[in-house]
Amino acid sequence: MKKIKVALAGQPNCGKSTIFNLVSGIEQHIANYPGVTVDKKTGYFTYDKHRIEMVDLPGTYSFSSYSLEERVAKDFILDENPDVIVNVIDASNIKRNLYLTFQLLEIGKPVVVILNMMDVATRRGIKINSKKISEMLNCPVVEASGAKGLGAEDIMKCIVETSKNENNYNEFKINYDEFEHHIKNVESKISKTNALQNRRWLAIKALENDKTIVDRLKEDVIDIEELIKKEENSFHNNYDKDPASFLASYRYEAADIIFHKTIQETNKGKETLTDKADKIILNRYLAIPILIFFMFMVYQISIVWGYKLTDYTWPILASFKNFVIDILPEANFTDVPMITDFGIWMVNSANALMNYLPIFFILFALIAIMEDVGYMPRMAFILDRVFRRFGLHGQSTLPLVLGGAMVGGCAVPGVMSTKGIADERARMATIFSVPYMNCLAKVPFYTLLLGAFFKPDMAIMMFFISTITLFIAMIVAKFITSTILKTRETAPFLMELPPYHLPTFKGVIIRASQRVWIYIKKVVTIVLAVAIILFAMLQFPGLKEESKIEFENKSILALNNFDKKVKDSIYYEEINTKEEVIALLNYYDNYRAKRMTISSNEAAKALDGKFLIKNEPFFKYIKPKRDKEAKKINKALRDLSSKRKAILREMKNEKVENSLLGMTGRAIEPFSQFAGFDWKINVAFLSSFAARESAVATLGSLYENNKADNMRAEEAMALNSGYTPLHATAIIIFMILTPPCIATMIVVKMQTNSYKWMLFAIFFPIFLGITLASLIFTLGNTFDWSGFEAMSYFYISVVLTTIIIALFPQKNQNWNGGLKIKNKG
Amino acid sequence: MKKTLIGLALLSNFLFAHSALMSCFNNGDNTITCEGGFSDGSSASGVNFFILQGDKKILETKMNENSEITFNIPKGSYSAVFDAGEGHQIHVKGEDITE
Repeated sequence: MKKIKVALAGQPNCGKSTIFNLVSGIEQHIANYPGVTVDKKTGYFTYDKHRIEMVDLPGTYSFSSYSLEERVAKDFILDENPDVIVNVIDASNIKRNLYLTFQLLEIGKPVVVILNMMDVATRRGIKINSKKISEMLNCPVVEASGAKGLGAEDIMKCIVETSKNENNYNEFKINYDEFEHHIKNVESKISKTNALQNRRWLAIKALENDKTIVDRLKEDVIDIEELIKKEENSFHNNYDKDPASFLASYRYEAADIIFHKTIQETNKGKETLTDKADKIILNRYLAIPILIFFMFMVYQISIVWGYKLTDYTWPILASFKNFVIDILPEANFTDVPMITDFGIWMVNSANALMNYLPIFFILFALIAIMEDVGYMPRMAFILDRVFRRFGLHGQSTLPLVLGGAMVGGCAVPGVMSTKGIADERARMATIFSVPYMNCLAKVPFYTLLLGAFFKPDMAIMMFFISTITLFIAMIVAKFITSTILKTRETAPFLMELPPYHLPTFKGVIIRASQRVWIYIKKVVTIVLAVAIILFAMLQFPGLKEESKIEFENKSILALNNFDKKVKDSIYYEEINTKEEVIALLNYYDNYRAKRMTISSNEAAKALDGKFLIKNEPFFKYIKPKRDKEAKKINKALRDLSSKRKAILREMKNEKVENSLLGMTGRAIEPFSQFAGFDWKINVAFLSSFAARESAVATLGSLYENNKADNMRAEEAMALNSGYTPLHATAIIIFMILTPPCIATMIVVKMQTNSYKWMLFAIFFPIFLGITLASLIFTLGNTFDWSGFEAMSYFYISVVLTTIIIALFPQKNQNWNGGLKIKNKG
Repeated sequence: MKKTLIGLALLSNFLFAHSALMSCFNNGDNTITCEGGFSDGSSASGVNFFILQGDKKILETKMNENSEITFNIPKGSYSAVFDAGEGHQIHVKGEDITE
């Protein structure tokens, strides 16, 4: 079977993805190329005895290296050397699209042009003579409508035909007149390069100063840069023009010629539906309220309703966990095998991330809808002016909203949705500012501290906390973009506003599933690695010898106690050995754990049935009914179970304290003391980051008063810790600034594709947090501020800083001149 | 102004990233044990717990270190409530608690 490699290219919003889905059908295989953050999808399918591999390249307006998408697309063409390039064109917007077509034709590979959205064009009264286009460009042109499902067969046929005719292909050339001899000069110099592509194309791209191409050529032609400089200068001296814009104008002209000869617009001048809609959506006064409404809906539907959905989906995860627990070796009273501990730890880590899936699916579907409809570029357009002042981009809106701009969100989907931002620097800045937004998982922690230290001012403190995050994110974005990201590429805001169109159900579902699937694949691999490291950090070096003996004694005591209580029972025979007692205890705890995940009566009955079969004699001890003797054992069993839990908890606390993580907590005490943090707080922070359990639980267990059973963690903390509200303010400030969790770090790694940036995303907030917390704590101590005062001052300074940055004039003017009167005196 | 602030504070308070769980058993000695927890494995230690009879709270307490609570069976119909905050309340009716 002959293989054909096809690149699918086109401008954003031309319906490339619908064409991809149209031809690939359901049975597509999604591949993810390593090393890039922008997705390329690959579909494999067979047609007429040909095996076709079709790669859906990211949408690009041109081919001149402005954005990451363009680079990804170009790298593919350079590395993979496709046999056929399929160029999808929005038939309702043909002139602009043809600009890219000429660039694709110049690559020197056979091109198939697909006129997509023919239905829209017809509706708008645009008459297209596709035969004429085909004749003028010397390449096949297929009419199609991805949304209506028309043209799949023709497209496949055309690809196969084109590939069969490969030998009849004549190089496509645009005559660049006075520039030609410069092209020839470069062409002859690079003739010995190893690149597979057409020399003329490479020469043209090099002369356009295309960095990707120049870098490639440098490998074979060392002096390429000087060579280009020379040609550029000579052209500039002779004609006073720059090669890049000169070449562009030729292509535009070529596109214009095609347009005028083949297209008839019968409805010209009439206001389209899109124009009408834009009058409202982009209206000066309405734009922002409408945008806020849409953002609120996205947030509401994906995060709020999505979380509600997790109520229904988590039992699936819970049963997976139960399944894993069932196959792991059972505990021998308080002696839990490490493999069991480890297995549960791993399942918990994976489950914590999998729990986000419903949210992600909804979110990705909504984003796909907004992309398809054409609202995304409009949203970016509306907010770009504000965000640009902070080094962000109009497209940063959605990530920030999902991260928690309103009442609280989650950084994981926020960071995930930065993918579409065209401006590389703004994209990176957004990735690093989203984790500052108000993470939902931090809320219980704030509640704990506010409840313990700020009872009367709770509402206003919560207001400070939930609004300060957006300001901080903006300042951080500004700071990062004007320092470490200064040299990153930025793209000019080349967003154009495509006409609105209705999304297709199939397209939305496929796109959402693809993105979710990529998430699962990446997260599973990375999370396993990170979870293993953390497990080790919490396990080792483990308990001291003397503690081990102490816990062993406690265990023996508990078991003996149980034995004493059940000795005179008529059932004593069934439970008179240690092995039997432990088996019964595991049976009992296992039942309780499973019962917890069940809410309906039928399911509870089914569970009873299962346990009855599993061990009939034991069943009477977990459900004694009227059996007095069994009841007695049940009571003793309950006692034993809670004793075991207590011992295990103590062991765990001691293990955490002595663990590498605990040692780290102690080791950083000399630094953290300036913020008022003792080692316990450090451990709580570290383990909240690591162990995914909320910091509340850790703090609670570190401060719990063993005698007062009924005391809440916050009461215990206020009483036992010796902290003042100022301490609490420092802790809160640190918590606001620290990254929320591992899951976020993993998606940062995914989006930046670099561990270095991931480490930066971890340590920069920690550094910032500890610095600011120390500053406020020290100032507060010096001037004798209350915790509330300290927080208020902090809030006011942050807000003022943001306002100053926003008002500060931007250095974005790169021209000068006009009428200048020279002072010759 | 103050009302808006409180509204905002409440709003930011009602969402948690996990679901609350509780199951109750009749111990057969005229007591009931309820065990609370969260779907992500977090402990429910210290979470509010109360028993409702009509609209009256006849018992108000907190989950112990083992996320459990044991109480004497009240006379008449009642429900046990695990109260982990707005949107995270679990009600279990007395008649649904079996041995």
